[in-house]
Amino acid sequence: MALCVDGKSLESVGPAALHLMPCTVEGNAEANVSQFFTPAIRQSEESLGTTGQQVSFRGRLLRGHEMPVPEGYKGVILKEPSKPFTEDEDRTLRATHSFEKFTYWNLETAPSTNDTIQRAMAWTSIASALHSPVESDKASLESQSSVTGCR
Amino acid sequence: MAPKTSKKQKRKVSGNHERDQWMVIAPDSTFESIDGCPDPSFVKLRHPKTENGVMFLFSSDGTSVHEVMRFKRDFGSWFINDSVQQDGSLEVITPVDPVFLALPYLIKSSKERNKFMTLDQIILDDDYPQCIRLLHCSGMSGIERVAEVKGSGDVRAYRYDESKTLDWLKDKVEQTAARLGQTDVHVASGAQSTTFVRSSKEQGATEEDYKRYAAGLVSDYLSADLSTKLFEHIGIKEVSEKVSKALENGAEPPLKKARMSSDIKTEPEEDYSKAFTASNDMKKEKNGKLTAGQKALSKVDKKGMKSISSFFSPKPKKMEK
Repeated sequence: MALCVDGKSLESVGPAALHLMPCTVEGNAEANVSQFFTPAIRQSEESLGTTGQQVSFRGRLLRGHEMPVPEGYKGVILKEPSKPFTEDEDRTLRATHSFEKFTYWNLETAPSTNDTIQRAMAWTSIASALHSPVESDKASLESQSSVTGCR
Repeated sequence: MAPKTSKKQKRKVSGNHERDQWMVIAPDSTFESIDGCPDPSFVKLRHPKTENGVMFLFSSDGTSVHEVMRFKRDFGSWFINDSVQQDGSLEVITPVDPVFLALPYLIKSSKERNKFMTLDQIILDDDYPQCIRLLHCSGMSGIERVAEVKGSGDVRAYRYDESKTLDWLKDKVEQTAARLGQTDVHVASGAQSTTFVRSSKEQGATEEDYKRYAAGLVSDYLSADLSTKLFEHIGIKEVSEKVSKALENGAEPPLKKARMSSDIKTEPEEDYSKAFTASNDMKKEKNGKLTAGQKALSKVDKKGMKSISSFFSPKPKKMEK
């Protein structure tokens, strides 16, 4: 059994408007997001000059942050159009949308770098350091770590 | 959680198996399909730490392998255009150094026969036959950092070399620690301004702290045995010395459980222990996707994190007194 991704399907997909909500909505279905949710979003002046977004959802205040996908990365929604009948069958995932950014919402707390989602984005950078080859440029590494050093 | 009526309910309960849609973030080139090459594909390989089968992704040309990290908040759902997706997780796909995945095979074969063998003799697995694809990864040339090499050109034979491996891992730790410094803290000009762990930096997160954390990350790709040797080799205790001192002084150990689950619920602005909780949580999530065995092993790291926060919180009070 193999699980493949139809690479060609990525070429023709368009961007999706995405919101990651801080609550579980039980169900996978159509919803009038653009009619009832999106128009209610307000820009709010945060301290430190950053602008945040606010919205009221079911009477609760949500505070949002627009998160770009890290540089060199791409967001994709992959869907399995048909379920396999047997375990041995090859499975294929197809892209249905792409995205360069999405908005995540916190329940009442202001978005910060401690949020799961922001750490997820930071992981891409940390992983690239952890998993890139280390053989050659030891010298430059040492100079880097001396910059980092802060005793 | 009992399935009531609809298909959707069932989907929720059975989780992964019934899901048909995933939100994925991956490097630009990962999903590119190249003419004449097979599509990019997910394949089960033996995880070097847990030894359990975990999904990895090979690119279309087969020269790079990636892991899938799931990030999920306690509660969450996606709005996708005009629809709802109940599952609020985000899969982050990042490249993996294939040498980490090959290392257990190299160690095993050298233990069993103690002679030089070619990679296609070494990387064999009846349970996960697809591991043979690691041989085509461009990063496999790094195997020379962990093995003695005989022969040249196309025919090369390898034998595990522990001291070379530990040096290689040390480089890995330093490289990762340096990046942690750049990511978490803007050290461009040695400035104090930071974003990620502002509070811990102000409290003097040292180079050693970064190294210890980096070593913890690297250990997530190592057997428990090798991980212990790595910590010895770089001369860092898994638990900080200062912390044990703080504990000796009778400082209260922090409420581990409360800290661990405090991800979104409690957000005091000036909690100095937070940055460490945050990093801890990140690991927790990584482990969440993995197996029970890995969770058990991750206790080691938690111990380290816990103690660091205990160092930050009780001590200043004492000094004020």
